Amino acid sequence: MSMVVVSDVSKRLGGASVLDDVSLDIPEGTFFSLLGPSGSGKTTLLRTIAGFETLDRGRIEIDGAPMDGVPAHKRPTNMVFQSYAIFPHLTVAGNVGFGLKAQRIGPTEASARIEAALSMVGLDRLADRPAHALSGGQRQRVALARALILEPKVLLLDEPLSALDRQLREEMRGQLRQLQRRVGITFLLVTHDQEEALTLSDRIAVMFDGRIAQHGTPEEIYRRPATRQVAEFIGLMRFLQGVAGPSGIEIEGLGRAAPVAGASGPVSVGLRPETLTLLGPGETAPHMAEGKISDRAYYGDMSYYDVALEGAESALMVAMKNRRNGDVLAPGTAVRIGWEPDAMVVFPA
Amino acid sequence: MKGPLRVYVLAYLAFLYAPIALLPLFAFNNSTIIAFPLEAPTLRWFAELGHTPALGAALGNSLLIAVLASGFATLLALAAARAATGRTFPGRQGILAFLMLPLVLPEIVLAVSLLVVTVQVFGWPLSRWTIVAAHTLLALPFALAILRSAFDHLDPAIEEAAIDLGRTRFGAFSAVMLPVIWPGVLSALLVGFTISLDEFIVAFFLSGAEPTLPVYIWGLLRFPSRLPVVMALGTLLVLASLCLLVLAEILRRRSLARIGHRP
Repeated sequence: MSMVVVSDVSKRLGGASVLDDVSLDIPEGTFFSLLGPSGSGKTTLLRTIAGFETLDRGRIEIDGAPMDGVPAHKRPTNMVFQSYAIFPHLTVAGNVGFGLKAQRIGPTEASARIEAALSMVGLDRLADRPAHALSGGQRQRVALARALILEPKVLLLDEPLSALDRQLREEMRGQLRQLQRRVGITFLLVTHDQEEALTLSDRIAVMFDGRIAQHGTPEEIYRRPATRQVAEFIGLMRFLQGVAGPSGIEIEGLGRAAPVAGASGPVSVGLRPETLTLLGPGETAPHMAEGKISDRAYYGDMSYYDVALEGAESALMVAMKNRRNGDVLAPGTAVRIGWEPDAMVVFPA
Repeated sequence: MKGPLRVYVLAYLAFLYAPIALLPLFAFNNSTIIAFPLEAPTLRWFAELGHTPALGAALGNSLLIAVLASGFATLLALAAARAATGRTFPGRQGILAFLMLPLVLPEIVLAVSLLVVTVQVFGWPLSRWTIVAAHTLLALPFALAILRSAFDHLDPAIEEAAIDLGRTRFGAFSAVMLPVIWPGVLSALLVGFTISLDEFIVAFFLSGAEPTLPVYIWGLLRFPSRLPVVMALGTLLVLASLCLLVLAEILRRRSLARIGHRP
């Protein structure tokens, strides 16, 4: 069942289109991410769902109820803000219990719910601590507990991990996923971090320029990016030029590949580094190319090689595991690259 | 600090504050003439203060005016600073500049024009209330500057967070924004109070039969024999200002600590 339905929503700000005919269906109980670069309209979309922004056209329904004219304070959504927006003059418990006051919940029930919310995020010991004395990670948990205590139908998260340093971010990412599984509430996350979106989400909508470019599971979006823009934004991909015809795709300098339905004329053929292998002597693959390593990035467990191809303008990138000593190749080494047909993603050029 | 720099700083401070130190000196001096050498110490001038009912009335006027004017100015500035924070609307800059205008207008010009408006245009009698109105105008730019800076240091998301958690716009303001900018509100009140308390020119023009303390002191100065009484009064005022300053600083630090700022 759909929890949030966004239909044909458009919004203009100062002559520029911020949301351009956006439609979206967020199933109940999913961890859903809006992924896009800054200025793509993802935060604006989140804020229109929360009721902080008006829309010019279209409608938003939450749990079957239309939200037209429903003010932010009456919507069944709660939000974790990018800055966490902790109330500095209250204690941790005061922050977490803030929303209960507006709902006229008695002190006994309130303190029980505050306690439960705090233990859910592991802050039970800090209930009486002034909120301004908290660390970044603790603030994030207070913001989560403060929003979840009201049992919203949708929890909105605006870049909730971007204010944390790298190590804490990875730790909180895991906790966020667990938390969503445990409470079962629909989470709608806004992020510009593709890794965050891929690891956390059940479904992702990728946004560019106020439009949804693609919408699907993390794997669909990574494996089969719908546009070249999506492909370049998520993960690493290198492109070869080609011309598609009924008999197949003629790739520059490499020969022919199998035809792709719907593709004709000039195309880009995308290949991700981990779908390519460096072939040993005598090894073959359905598609092969020869080239020379022009540059190398060493990551410890992996090496990423830029390979300049013979007979082509473009370069490919190959990712290889460093399994044993001597695996790491020096720039200038001549190599043969192989890949399977399904590694190629074809876009109109 | 060492050497010539230290001497310079000490001389600087002495030059600034020595005149004020003379005040208590002559207030306790048993002579109507303000001159060295000093005579015997006395409390006579302080005692005489107690026997001057007009002084009490002037002090009462001043306090009432200062409390009301700083209160009104702070309320108006609170509304204006809130409106100017985090959003743009047509004429925003113009309105803000207009509100800051009394800061740069010569007070004598302001005093004359307020007198003309009050008496000639509206035909209102001069009283404490006309001074309250005028001092509100004078204190407004200061309160506005202080409160705008308080709002600028506020995370604008906390208002939306309060609304998101079920409060109305007004509820969010009173439950979340006001407590956080409270040190600024205190500063605005205090500055307004001080400005009104020692303002002379406008009060002189608009006071009618209800003088404020500075206007009353100005009147006393015409009688040379009353000069030591003025000195005694001045001594008390300096003491009161010091107490007020300390109190305000304590309050400010306390409310800053509550929201986690180091004073």
